[in-house]
Amino acid sequence: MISVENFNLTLSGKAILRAISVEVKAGELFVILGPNGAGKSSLLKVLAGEMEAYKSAVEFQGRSLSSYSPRELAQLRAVMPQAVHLDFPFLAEEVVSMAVLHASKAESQQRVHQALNLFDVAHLSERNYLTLSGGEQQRVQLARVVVQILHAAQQAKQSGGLPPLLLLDECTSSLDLAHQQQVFQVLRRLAKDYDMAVVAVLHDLNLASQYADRALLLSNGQAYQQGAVHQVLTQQTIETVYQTPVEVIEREGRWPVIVPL
Amino acid sequence: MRLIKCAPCGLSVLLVVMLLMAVLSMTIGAIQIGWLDVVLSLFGWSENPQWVWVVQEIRLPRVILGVLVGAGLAVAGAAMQGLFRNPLADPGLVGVSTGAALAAVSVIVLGSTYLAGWTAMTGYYAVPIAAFLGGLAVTWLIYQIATKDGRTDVALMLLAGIAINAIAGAATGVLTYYSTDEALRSLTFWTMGSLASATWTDVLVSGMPILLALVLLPFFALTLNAFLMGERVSEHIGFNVKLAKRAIIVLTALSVGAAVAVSGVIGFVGLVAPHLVRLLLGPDHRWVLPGSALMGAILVILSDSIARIIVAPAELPIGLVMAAIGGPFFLALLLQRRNRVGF
Repeated sequence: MISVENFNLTLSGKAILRAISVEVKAGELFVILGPNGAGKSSLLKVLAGEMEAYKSAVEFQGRSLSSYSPRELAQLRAVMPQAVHLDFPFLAEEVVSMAVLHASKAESQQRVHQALNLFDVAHLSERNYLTLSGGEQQRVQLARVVVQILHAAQQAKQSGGLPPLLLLDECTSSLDLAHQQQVFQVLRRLAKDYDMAVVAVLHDLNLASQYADRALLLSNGQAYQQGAVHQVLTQQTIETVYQTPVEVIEREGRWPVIVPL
Repeated sequence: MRLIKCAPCGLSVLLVVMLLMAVLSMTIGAIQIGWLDVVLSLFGWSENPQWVWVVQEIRLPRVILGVLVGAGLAVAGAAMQGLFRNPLADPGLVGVSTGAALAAVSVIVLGSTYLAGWTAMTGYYAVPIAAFLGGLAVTWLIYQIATKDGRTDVALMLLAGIAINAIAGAATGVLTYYSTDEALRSLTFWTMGSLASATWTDVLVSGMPILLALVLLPFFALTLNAFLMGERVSEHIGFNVKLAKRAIIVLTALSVGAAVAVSGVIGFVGLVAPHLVRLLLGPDHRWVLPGSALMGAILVILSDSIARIIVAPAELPIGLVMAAIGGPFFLALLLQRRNRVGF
């Protein structure tokens, strides 16, 4: 669905990404892992088309990313940045509804409510966004990002069209344990039910181990390992890339758990 | 938080208040005319021909000019605050008004000497077009200085505004040495703002560009809403950010330039009006833009009335009155900002 091949990114003389080849397929939850400064967010920004000069290097649904208009792209993919700064007192539901264009008022309300429910923030819909906690704001932003393409995903499923793509940068960084689980359950369901591709930059290796299909482990801007998540997350790869001792506990019939020692 | 839940009702209330203020403002002057007689005179139905003349030829253009200037400055302020993602952006504070005024003053003072070519080329519109270009240059400059990677550095924006205000102030000061007595008087007018010499020609000259901004800016309301979360975010949602940014910069400059060209520098309208509207109706630009226009008109008519009453039979420059109201308001805003509950 989206891919770059042998991709290099250099910003003000510094090599940020080197020889990266990634292809994310429809229906999979793909995670980008790696230590701070490994180039995870940069790669996600490249895939999102935020680096103007590198847009043409990204292939999205068979076409170069630079050939899409913003409007066309918005219907096929949504992006959640690491942080969103909003200084104005919108209600939570108004924030989410900003991503619903070309829909009647009733239709828009219905979609917004569905998205708020998905991330367990429906009860906050009439609250001032600025008075929400960091985690609540993050869940509202997730609802805003997902509502943008959920309708397209449902239509694509019915008519056999192209399923959309979700790009998420550390989308659970402020969430408590239960909500981290809940968010990834939702993301996984979106990938499986609607054949969407979900690309998430992530720090929590256990969340990756639990929910991801495939992973890319970055180290100093290079792909250290890529493939099925449990082949990527081994004791040897983690210890080498993160420079810290860990134990990977294999469990019968369940995902492996990674414990720092 | 939001005083009026039903935004269209709120806008209607503002419209009614504005019309009442306009009529009330026309009762004030060297001769007192009752509000009923003002209304009758507007339509030429009053039996006193002097009143009809005074209302139609002196007070009506003045009040309409006040409405245009107030609406133009306030809608520009609201749009700039969206563009800069910050409620402290104001055409006066960041130097757009002074930039427009400097350009206008230059044409007035140097129009027959150094800038003779310009006056010959643009004729009657030499001053308003210069004001527009001055405003455009400053808006663009401030945006370039303060915005990087889709985020605005507020401190940089305000500091750049201080610098530009200082530069424009110095340049205007230098120009006073070159000016004739007559030009000098009009310099005071430019720097302090006034509606006193309002004519129907002023209304026509400023009306077109301001109405253009009032009509076109609301088309970018949804873009501006998303813009508040960042340029990238609004692009990802599907808005044509580049086009919107350019259009908003040009339209605000057009509006501010036109307002400055006919009334000089009236500060704080662009700051106070959108803020009050956000308190009333919330931050959604679909309501903030038209609401600010109405609120700006109300504020300018009110200040102009005060300016005429307070030292009657003389009158104060309206810019002084607005500054007296707006300065404390700005301080209150900064205080509130410390408590950080959002605008």
